[in-house]
Order: sequence, then structure tokens, then C-alpha cells
Amino acid sequence: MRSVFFLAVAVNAAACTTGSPLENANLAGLRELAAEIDAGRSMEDVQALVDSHAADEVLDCTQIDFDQEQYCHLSHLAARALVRTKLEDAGLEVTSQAVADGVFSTEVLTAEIPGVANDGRVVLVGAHYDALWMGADDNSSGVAAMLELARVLSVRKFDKTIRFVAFDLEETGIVGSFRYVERLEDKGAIVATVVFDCVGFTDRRPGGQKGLAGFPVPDTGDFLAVIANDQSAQLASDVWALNEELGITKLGVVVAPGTGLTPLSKNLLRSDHVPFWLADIPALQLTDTADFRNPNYHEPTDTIDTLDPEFLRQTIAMSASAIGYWAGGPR
Amino acid sequence: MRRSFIAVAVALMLATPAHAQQPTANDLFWAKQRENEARRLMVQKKTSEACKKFAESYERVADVRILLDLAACHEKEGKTATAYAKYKQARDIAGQDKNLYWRKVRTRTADARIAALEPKLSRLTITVPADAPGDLAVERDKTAVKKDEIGVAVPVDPGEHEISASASGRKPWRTTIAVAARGESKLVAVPQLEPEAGASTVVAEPPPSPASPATKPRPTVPEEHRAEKAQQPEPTKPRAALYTRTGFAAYLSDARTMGGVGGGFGVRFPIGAWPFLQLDASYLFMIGNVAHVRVGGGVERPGIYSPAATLLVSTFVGTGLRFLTVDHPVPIPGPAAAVGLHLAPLRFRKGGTHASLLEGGFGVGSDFPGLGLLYEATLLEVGTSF
Repeated sequence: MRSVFFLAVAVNAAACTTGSPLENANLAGLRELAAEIDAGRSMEDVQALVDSHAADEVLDCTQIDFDQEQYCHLSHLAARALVRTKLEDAGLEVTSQAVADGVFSTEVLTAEIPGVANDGRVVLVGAHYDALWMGADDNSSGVAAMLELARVLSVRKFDKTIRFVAFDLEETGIVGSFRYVERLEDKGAIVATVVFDCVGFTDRRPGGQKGLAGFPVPDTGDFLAVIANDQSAQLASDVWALNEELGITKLGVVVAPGTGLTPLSKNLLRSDHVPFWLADIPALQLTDTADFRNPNYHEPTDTIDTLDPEFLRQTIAMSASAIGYWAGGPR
Repeated sequence: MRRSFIAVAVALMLATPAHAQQPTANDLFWAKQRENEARRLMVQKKTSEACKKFAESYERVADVRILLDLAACHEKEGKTATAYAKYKQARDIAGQDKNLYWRKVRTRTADARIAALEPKLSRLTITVPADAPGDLAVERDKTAVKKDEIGVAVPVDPGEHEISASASGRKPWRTTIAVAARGESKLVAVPQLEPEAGASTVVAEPPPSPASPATKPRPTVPEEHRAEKAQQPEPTKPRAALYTRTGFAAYLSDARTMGGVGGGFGVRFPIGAWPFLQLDASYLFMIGNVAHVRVGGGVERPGIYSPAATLLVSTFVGTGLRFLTVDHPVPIPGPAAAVGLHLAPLRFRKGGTHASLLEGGFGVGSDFPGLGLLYEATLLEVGTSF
């Protein structure tokens, strides 16, 4: 009986001695990358996206067989055009994957910074551009993060290709990203995926963060949640180590078991990272935990004035250093 | 004076049911005198002394009328169990009265008092180890406890009771227990009697050999004693139990959450009347896929109602939610382990089977560093002994 206990102790103690995963990192370059992230630019992007949703026509919800009124406030067409323009403004060539399917027609936009190693390996950065109401946090903040990364990373060189992907119709059931992954020809080439979904809201008051059974969640809503599965556990460890090294933001990192599809982890399966998990592609979701923190989630009150620009900046800076590290750069 | 005595004697004879041996006039006179003394003492509030006089009177002349008085006297004395037994005895006797009027009056009186006393009865349960010696003799207040009273909540008078047990080749055991009035129930578990110094607990008797004159003659055992011995059940030896269980278990720390709901199998090895060792394994899901292995030992009460307490080392092997912390910057691998106390308050045993409902456990472990908490709940466990 005692030997079983001490065996467990020994195994656990061994786990604590794992070395740093950042031995070959260009920490100086990554620190520079993180420092270049500009909160003002990102908030301008959020404002432009929010304005586009406000002015856009909404989805013809009469064609949707969902008994949820919220889909009558979903818009995506104007935001799609805006994302395309912003990516092109960053000097990237934009391609699209369009799937015609009536009211569920989607168009996923992609743009790449080619890797100098030319080995075909890819680091993928994604966010969905469709939104309910004006969608400042959900998900203009995520799209703005992707656009800021495109701007900052596109002027540097990396070993691996960095691919920016703007997903469509996440709100109606992760439609665009499922179609994208389904049609993906280089699944095996993707070494890391980062999906932004709701990354701009904080509530630093005690009790500002709702808990979840089985999760040791802090009481204050001021951390960036990093959601991984076993396949992407190494990516999560890298993010943690980089953040410890660079001191960028406060993190809460959870690794779901296996592919992540367990009953208790269903709240970890709510965004565009899920199709990647199901295709055995390593992927992280970065989020402010959405309705576990933000009372404006999927409400008309999800407006830009509720966001925390500094938190958004930290999120993008953290992501810039991680993506730069995984992409083998900056050179 | 003489005429009144004769009248009383005649009246008593009429009131007394026919017995095999009819009381003599002397008996009737003596009994009546004790009855009169008892009534006088009752008036003087000397209840215990009065009860003695009623008892003496009834002993001499078995008159159901006096038996009812004696029962009422004991009731007033606070000896509820004794009163209860006397009322029942009086009802049985009165029920055979050929006089319809007295039969009805006295059985109704006895029944009314029996019903009134039932909820007030204090009870005492005496248990003996399953593997107790076959000749174990248990006494309560110097009176032998019948075998069918073992493990049964028997009505007793409030107050102190002396319980003693003895068996050949074993040291006698004795204890006293106080039982309060108004329905209190107490349990006395007779322990396994220790062997006497130099005595062997098992005596192998050589087979009778009439051809061998050197063989010592065995002590004579009365026939009725032999018959009683033959009727005694073989002592029950503790047996290993195989069981299946279903429930929930979780290990929660800052670094991980493992466990879920599921079920599995286990085995329990008794190492005495109360203590046992246990090993089981379950498959749990909902949070991940986990093999939950528990090993430990505990104590279980012998008898039909057999609650248990177990100290267990729980090990969770498999997948679960993991969280990165300053102390655990990479997902923690390996099994989680915790030591916990598991209680089974609703376990019942009948023959070779047992069932247990709603067990619960709590424990602590560590991911080194960091505290981990173990929560366990068994919804149902069923098993069989072999």
C-alpha cells in the first residue's frame, strides 16, 4: 500500500523536473515582437469592425431552423470585406474558400507570410469575423488581434509559414472552420494553431469571473484563458514558459484530456479550434472566457466601450511571441 | 376471622385457573397475606418492596389477577421491560380462562398496557463475533442469553446491566452498560475471547477406542447438553467477498482534475471479525478516462447491519483536466494519489451476500507541491462471499 503511494509520489516528482521548453528561442526577438503590438491600432480595428457590423445587413434568420432569436442579429458580409482589405493593407495576398449553402454559405479568408525554410510547415492564426449584434468582444477583438499580428509579423521573416485565417459563421455552429479543416490539404503540415475568440474583456472585481465545476478558476476576470488538449499540450506549455520569461500577462491554462471531447470539458469546445482538435491538429483557443466573465456576451450591449485595450494588447503581444517562437523566428 | 378466611380462600380458588397442582388452603392464605402486604406497601409508595410481595404471592399461588398487579407494580417501579414481559404472560394465561367475562376483562387490560409500554421500551442488542467458539455462553444480569436473542434488540429495564461471556479454554469477559429510559437502544459487542494461558483453543479428541483399556474415560455429558450442542450452528468463519460498485470519484488540485463516474470490481479479505483488507479497481469517465485503484483496510461491523469505515489509498491513472501553474509549468503527468477515509453507513449483509448504498469518502493527496483533495461517493455496492 505504501509502495503504491510512493510510486505515485516519485512519478509526480519526476514531472516537476521537466526542463524549460524554450531552449532555442530568440527571446530578444520575441520580446521586440511583443513590444511592437499597439493597443491603439487594435482598438481602431475593433471600432471599424463594430461599425461594419452595425451597418451590415443581418442574416435571413427566417431560413434558419434554430429556435433562437439571436441569429436574427448575425452579420458577416461587411466584416468579411473589411478583413480582406486590412490583410491586403498588410501586404498579404488574400485567398478565399467559399462554400455555397444558402443562408449558411461561408467564405473563409486566408493570407500567408511564407516561411523562409520553405519546408511547408505552417503556424495558423485564426478568428471568426461573423458576430451577433455589434460583437465588440465576440469577436471583433479576436479579429483585431489577428489583423495586428498580420501587420507586425508580415514585416519579419520566419522559418515556417504563418497563415492567417478569418473564419465565417462560427456563431451558427462553427460552420466555416469545420469546412475549412475538412478541405485542408496540408493538415499534417500545421505545427500550431491559435484561435482568438473573445479576447478583449476583463472584470477585475472580486466575483467578476464565474467558476466552473472541476476548474480552479480565479475569482477575478483578469486573466487570458488558454485552452488546449493533449495534442496541443506542448503549445500550452510553450505559452506558459514564454509568458513567464517575458512577463506579459496573467494566464489561466487548461489542458483537456485526449481530443478534448469529454462531458466535463464541453465548455472548452465552443469555438473554431474544435475542428482542428478533431483532425488531430494541435490548436489553442485564447479567450477571456466569454459569458463566464462578460455579461454582454451575445447581447446588444457588446460594445467597444466595454473592452479593456490593455488586456487586448497583452493578449496580442503574448500571441505574437508564441507564434514567432513556433514559426522559428523572427529572423 | 375464620369465616372471612374461608370466604377469601374460596374466592381465590374460583378466580384461579385450573393448574396441574391445586394450591392448598395454606398456600391461599399465605399468598393472600403477601398480597395484602403488597397493597399496603403500594399505598406507602414503597413500590419495590410491594413488587417483591406480589411476586412472592404469585409464586405461591399462580393467580393471573396477582400477575397483572405484579406487572403494574413493575411498571410503576420503572422496570418497563419486566412489566412488559409480565403483561404478556398475564395476557397468555388470561386468554385461556374458561370464564368468558374474566377472559375478556383481563386480556383487554393486559393488551392495553402492552400497547402503552411498547414505545417506551429500552432495548439492548448483544452481538458475538462470527467466529466465536461454539460453546460461547453469554449472560445478561446472570441470566443466560438465548441464541435467538443474539443480534436482536431485546427489551431491558432501564439501568445498568452486566453482560458476561465465557467459553471453555478462553478468558471470561464481562462488561456493564447503562441503558436509559424511554426507548433508548444500546449495543454490546462481545469481543473474541482471548485464549487462557496454556490452554489450546482447539482440542482434538481421540476417537473412542473400546479396544484400548489405556484410554481415559471421557467425562459424561448429559444427553440434553449433547443435543443442544448438536443444534448449535457451526461458527461462521470470515469469508472473502467479491463485489462490484458504481459511483463517483474525483481528485482535484490546482494542477489537475481527474476522475468521473463509473464502476468496477473489488475484493475484500476479512482478517478477523471486524478488520478487513480491500482492493478494487474502477473505470471512470466524464472528465477523462481513468483507472481508479484503491487499496486499504478498515473495520466492518459483523451482523446483518454491517456499516464499515475504510482507510484507502486511491490512485487515479489515466487522463483528466490539467492546469498549468507556477509550480507545474507543464501538464502534470503520471497518476494522482490520495489517502482518504471511506464510510459505508448503509451496508447490509445477509447470508453470503451484501449490499451497500450511498457510501462517501474524503481524502487528501499532493502533486508535490500543492494540496489535492479526494472526493468519493459510491452509489451502490453489491457483493458475494466465497
